[in-house]
Amino acid sequence: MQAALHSRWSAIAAFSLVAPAAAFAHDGTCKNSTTPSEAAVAASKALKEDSGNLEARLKLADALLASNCFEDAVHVLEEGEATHGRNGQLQSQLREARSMMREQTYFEGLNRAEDAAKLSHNLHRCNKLADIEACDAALARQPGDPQVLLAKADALVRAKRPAEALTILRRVRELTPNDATVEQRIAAAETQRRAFLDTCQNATGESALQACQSALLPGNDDEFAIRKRTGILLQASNQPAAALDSYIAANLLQPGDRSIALAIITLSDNAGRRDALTLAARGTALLTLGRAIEALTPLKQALVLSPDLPEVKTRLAQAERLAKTEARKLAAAATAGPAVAGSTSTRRYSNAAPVNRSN
Amino acid sequence: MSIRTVLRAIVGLFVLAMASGCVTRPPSIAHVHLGHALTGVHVTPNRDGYLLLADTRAKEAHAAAQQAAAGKTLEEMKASVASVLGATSSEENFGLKQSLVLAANHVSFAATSDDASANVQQSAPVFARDITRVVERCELIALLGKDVVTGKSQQEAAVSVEEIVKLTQANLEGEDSDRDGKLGSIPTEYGIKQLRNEFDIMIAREQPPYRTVDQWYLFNLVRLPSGRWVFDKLNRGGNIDGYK
Repeated sequence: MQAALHSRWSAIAAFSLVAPAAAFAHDGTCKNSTTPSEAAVAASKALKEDSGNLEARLKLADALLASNCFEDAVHVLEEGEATHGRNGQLQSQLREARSMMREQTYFEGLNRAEDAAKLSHNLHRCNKLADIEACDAALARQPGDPQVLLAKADALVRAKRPAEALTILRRVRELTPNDATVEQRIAAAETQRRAFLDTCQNATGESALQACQSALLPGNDDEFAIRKRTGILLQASNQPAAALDSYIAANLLQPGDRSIALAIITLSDNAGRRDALTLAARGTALLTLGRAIEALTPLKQALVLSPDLPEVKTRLAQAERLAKTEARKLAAAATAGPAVAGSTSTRRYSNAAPVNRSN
Repeated sequence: MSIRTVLRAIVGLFVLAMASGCVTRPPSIAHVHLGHALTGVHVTPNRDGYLLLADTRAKEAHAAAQQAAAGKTLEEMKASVASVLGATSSEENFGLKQSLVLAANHVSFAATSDDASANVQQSAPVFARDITRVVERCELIALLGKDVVTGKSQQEAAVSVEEIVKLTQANLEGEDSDRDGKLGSIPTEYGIKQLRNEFDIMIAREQPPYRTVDQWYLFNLVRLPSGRWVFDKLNRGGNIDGYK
């Protein structure tokens, strides 16, 4: 019974989900119906020939209603009121068309209510339960909303992710510079981050690794130190691939650290990775260690694999320049004495570290 | 007593009966639709009108929410919240949302009837718009209630139940979101109380005045395939794309 009773309403409800407001047209078309029905075209033609043709006007309105073009139907019928204002059929149809138009608005209102409830639900979960996924869902609906951003920052602090919280809070500070609570939140998050940083630097094992992750704030002064420490902790917990990634990231931030260079060379040897980023990092590490001739091959390979990789061309040019100097020195050493030259060449031209040195 | 005297008496009684309303005209179709929202409709429990039923369900939901808040275990809270959900969102048993939407639908049916007054035609879309906030709260209660019913943490459930209590209270009495010290002072704060008031004001404006519609008319309105509403005088009991 209910289904039969509300079939018209269901049709409008479904339509209101997908259709924008209709634009008025006299030719039987509207935005909701790109192809006018035959009935609409015929009625429209008859109406153009004789604007006083009531039958044609009613037929056109009927056809427009059938195509969910409620607003257009109302306009067609309202125009007819000038000449047939007292006609019962026109008035009845006009009432029906206006009602359909209002119902469309009504269902749009119900749909908005559903959307608003979803947003409120996500805000509730974000604010009260520190549900970070819910915060993200709310932000997807209201991107850049300072209140939602603050709620997400609070949720991140509760989830012991202060570095991420700080990134968001700094953004909120730009959006609402006069909000004193933002500064308080930044101070609280920074205190939490410093505590994690301390654990990261001084503890060992899984807890130290997690602390490093919590403290890692991209762009901050201590990013290099945290990435390096993370590499060391990962290497110690036998996670060479992740450790290599961390060292490479540290090396990109601050090239020239010898201990990182040695670690990259050892781990890239062991992992056997041949991707452009690893090859570039290996070449750069070899340059750091003053092994320019060895650096040439991985840098050239990296450039072939990824010609747009930042800094590789510069590093390769630097390696080529230094390799020439290095070659001249080797040649000079070779002429000076075979015993010295022999020991040097074994060390300088091998990818492996000398047996008396630890990487 | 002469025949003339008897005839006079009969005519007098007839006139008196007419004057006292014993012979009445059927209500307008528009008023019967309003009666479905207000007084009774034959498909609901106890044949209550949709608005009356919405009020009952709103009270049931709030009572169950308070019971959930007093729950000592997660299981107790879940059981009470399930009752809140039934009273709020059930379609089969005419929960608050369903009853209220149907009430608004019938007010709109009234507005599209051939005999609808200008008052009803103008008021219907306003009433339909003004139910939106209660519907929104119902949707939110459904989402929060689902969290509780499927959740495993009593602490989290308690947080959601606290919110559900506020929402069910607001659905009954309205809220004060603009903090002007008045509950339901604007449509976006409305609860059932304000909606009922708005409905009553619309009814009071009716000319000719709205009178409580007799049950026979309430339960025998059918819609013809042409879309026209008529009373089922032949008692066909049929379903001609209509109410019966």
